[in-house]
Amino acid sequence: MRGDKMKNFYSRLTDILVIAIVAFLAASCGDFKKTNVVTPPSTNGKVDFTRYVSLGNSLVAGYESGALYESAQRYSYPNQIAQQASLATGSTMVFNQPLISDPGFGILGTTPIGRLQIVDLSTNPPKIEPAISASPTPINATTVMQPYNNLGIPGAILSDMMDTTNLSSPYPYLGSNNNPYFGIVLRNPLLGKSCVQQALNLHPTFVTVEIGDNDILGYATSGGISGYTSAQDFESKYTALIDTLLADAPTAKIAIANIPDVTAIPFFTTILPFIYGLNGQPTHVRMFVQRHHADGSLYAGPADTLHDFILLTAADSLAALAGTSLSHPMPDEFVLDSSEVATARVQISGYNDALRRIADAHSDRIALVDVHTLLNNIAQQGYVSDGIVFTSAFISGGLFGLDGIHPTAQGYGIVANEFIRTINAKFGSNIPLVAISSIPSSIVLAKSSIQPNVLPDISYKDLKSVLQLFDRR
Amino acid sequence: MASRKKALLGTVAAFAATVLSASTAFSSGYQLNEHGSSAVAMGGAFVARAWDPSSIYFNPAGLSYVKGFNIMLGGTLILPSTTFTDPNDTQWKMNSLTFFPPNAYVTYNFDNGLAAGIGVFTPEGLGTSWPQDWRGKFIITKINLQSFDINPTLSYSFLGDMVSVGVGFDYVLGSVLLERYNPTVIIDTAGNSVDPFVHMTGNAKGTGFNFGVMLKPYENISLGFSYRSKITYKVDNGTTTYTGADGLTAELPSGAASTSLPLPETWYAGIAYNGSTYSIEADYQFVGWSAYKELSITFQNPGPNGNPSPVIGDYSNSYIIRIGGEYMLNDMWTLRAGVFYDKNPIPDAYDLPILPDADRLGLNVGFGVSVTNNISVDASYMFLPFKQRTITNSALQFNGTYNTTANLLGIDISYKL
Repeated sequence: MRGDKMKNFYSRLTDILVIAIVAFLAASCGDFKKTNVVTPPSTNGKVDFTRYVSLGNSLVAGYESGALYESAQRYSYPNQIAQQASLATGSTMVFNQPLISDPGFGILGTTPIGRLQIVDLSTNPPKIEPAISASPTPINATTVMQPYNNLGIPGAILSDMMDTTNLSSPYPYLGSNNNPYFGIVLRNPLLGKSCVQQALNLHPTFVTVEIGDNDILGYATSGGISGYTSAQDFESKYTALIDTLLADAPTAKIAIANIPDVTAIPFFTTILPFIYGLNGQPTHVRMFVQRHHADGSLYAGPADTLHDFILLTAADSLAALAGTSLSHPMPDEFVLDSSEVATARVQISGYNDALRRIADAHSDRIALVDVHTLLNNIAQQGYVSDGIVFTSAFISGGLFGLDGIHPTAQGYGIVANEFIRTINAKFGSNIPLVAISSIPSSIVLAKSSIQPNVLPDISYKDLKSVLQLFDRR
Repeated sequence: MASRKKALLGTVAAFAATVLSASTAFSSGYQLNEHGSSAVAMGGAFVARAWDPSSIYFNPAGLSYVKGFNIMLGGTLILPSTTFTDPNDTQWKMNSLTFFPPNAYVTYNFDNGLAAGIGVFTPEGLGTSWPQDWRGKFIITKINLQSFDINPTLSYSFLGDMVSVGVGFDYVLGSVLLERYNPTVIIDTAGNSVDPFVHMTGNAKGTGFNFGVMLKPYENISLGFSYRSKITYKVDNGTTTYTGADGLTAELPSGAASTSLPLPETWYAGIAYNGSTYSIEADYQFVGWSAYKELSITFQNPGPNGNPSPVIGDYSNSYIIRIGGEYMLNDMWTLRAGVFYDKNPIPDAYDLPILPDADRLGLNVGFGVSVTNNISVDASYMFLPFKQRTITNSALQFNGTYNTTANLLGIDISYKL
């Protein structure tokens, strides 16, 4: 009897188990099926990239490592946005850029140069030299018969956007020299007398604007010697620029970038305000620098190690032992001291407040891209993509080129993604993001012995510097 | 600048650690519980019965119930298929890999309650191989792991076979291979990337033990419990070669790489009902994956930058629920079926293409056939779908969706004297 009871009990248990299995399978089968989790890329009809125009400065142009050159321009963030938008619409859009053949065109003082390249890895930091470039060689200046879609002009400040005289008048920051980039980018007044006019002549359906960085960067990169645009002036000029775009491109939507903190870039963060030892490493002893009294007068004193920044351009002075004593301080032009940093930050904050107000006033048509926060976050935490870790460190970080200011191709990709994210969030489109790991590195190591895909055979001494370049983690 | 250099070397060494940790990872994500076709056909629910020579793996106490002298040889053909779909809907397919982890058992019953045996099986294995130019090439392009567990076992039953206990010793040998590209910020003047290719290999050894208990309190009921200890793999001879980094090798970590890896403890508990022509069993298997928190590695010549930082794994304990049974059609044929649910131990942040893991469902069928009085053949088929897993918070920002299924075909041939 007892056995029968047990048998009944266990056959019932078996039934329960079978029911449980069936229920479990029914409930979980959906999870085990392959389903598409990717929302198909689309502009959703919310944004129209048919005629996309970008305007602004060198960051818009795709300028990198001190020059404008084709292989970098190919990865300008506006071009990356255009390519991603093409993926979203399914048709390749025309996005003409003022391409200049490698090694490109930059200006060192008054001398034309090609892009900066690493030529010697045995020094610390590695020795960087410009590639020789006799004159800019435009690729498509005579074949593109309308204004370029990318109207980023290296060196341009806010007031240059609306200025109708730049094509012929002296450029203020280069002394008596014209800024040749106006000629390269705008070419001919018949295409439009100003940057904005050329943009409008394309009847844009979408516009991105990044301008104003140079309005404060000139001050910062001169160690506080050059002037800057006041926040009030900035707001009125930017408002005029936007009002013109809104009125004369009445259907276009606009994304505007705000201004990064100048101290988020390696130009200001590579050389530390400490005396460097013979091993090329900073000691714990504060560097002597030229600083400013409250009344603006100069004095030599120990650096404020938390708030003073030494410019990348101080490298040669550093090698000449500048900063090692009170009688041989780091010259003012290489020091952005705490008061100058504060001045720059007040201005930038004023600019960004203005941009916020402008964007809010036209929130149906303008998206504000917070490049400021993006670069601050990267400076603090780095940026990881597909297992590659990028940082804001000079050279080794992989995000900034050899001028210490302008992004690499991958850095521009991150900026493009920030634009795309903001545009998608603001306007409801679904433009896919760029896969940063698919963008090639772009810091050129110019060694005659280098073979494709093979590292140069370099001395042990060279290795110390080489290794600094080889990782982004 | 020194810290950056260290960071670089940290990458390489961390990669080395990743290589070695992969063997650990495989023992979970691809932990092999397929060590006997009869058991596999019943969803691996076997600990409370364990009545064939594969009891050496599943529950050594079962050895006492395996009469006579037995040889069992076989293996499981594993055909996995994995795809990764990135957020842009670009899909990569893992290169097709097939594996055949073998098993071999020899047992002898002294007919006085005492039985002895020795088993050789693959407690973990498999590998992944992705296209050389795929999106995750800086994380992994290839990994391959092999291992063998040599497991001598003794068993004793008493109280009229109502109780049986068994114990075994495990000596495990393993090897691992791993490859990937190391990203650099450099291109040459022709615009070509300069990303050295890293190739690593290592051999591992470890020891452990296992024991089991089986109770038959009632005529038709059996209870089983089986414990396999944590096995610490010791790696002391890992080697690394770099391609496209000739000038760098002097400063990269080199020489014998050593580390230790926990293969976590696992235990099975099960209850079975044994009828005259059929039996059915339900098991719970615990896997103590929380033992794997992080991994550190040391090189014989770490170079001026020291050894790398540990690699975080942060696994959770996991479990497998198994249900299965068999039905004796006649004296010759036995039909089997089973199902299991396998909970993966890897947090989303650390689920990487090195070991793309997910919760799994195992659907199993099989049969046994007595060919002669001495020879029998068991075969099994398992369909193993993985839950679709979408990662959005990868620690390496390698986000996307993994889809995996596997087909497993098992066969064992037994000779009984």
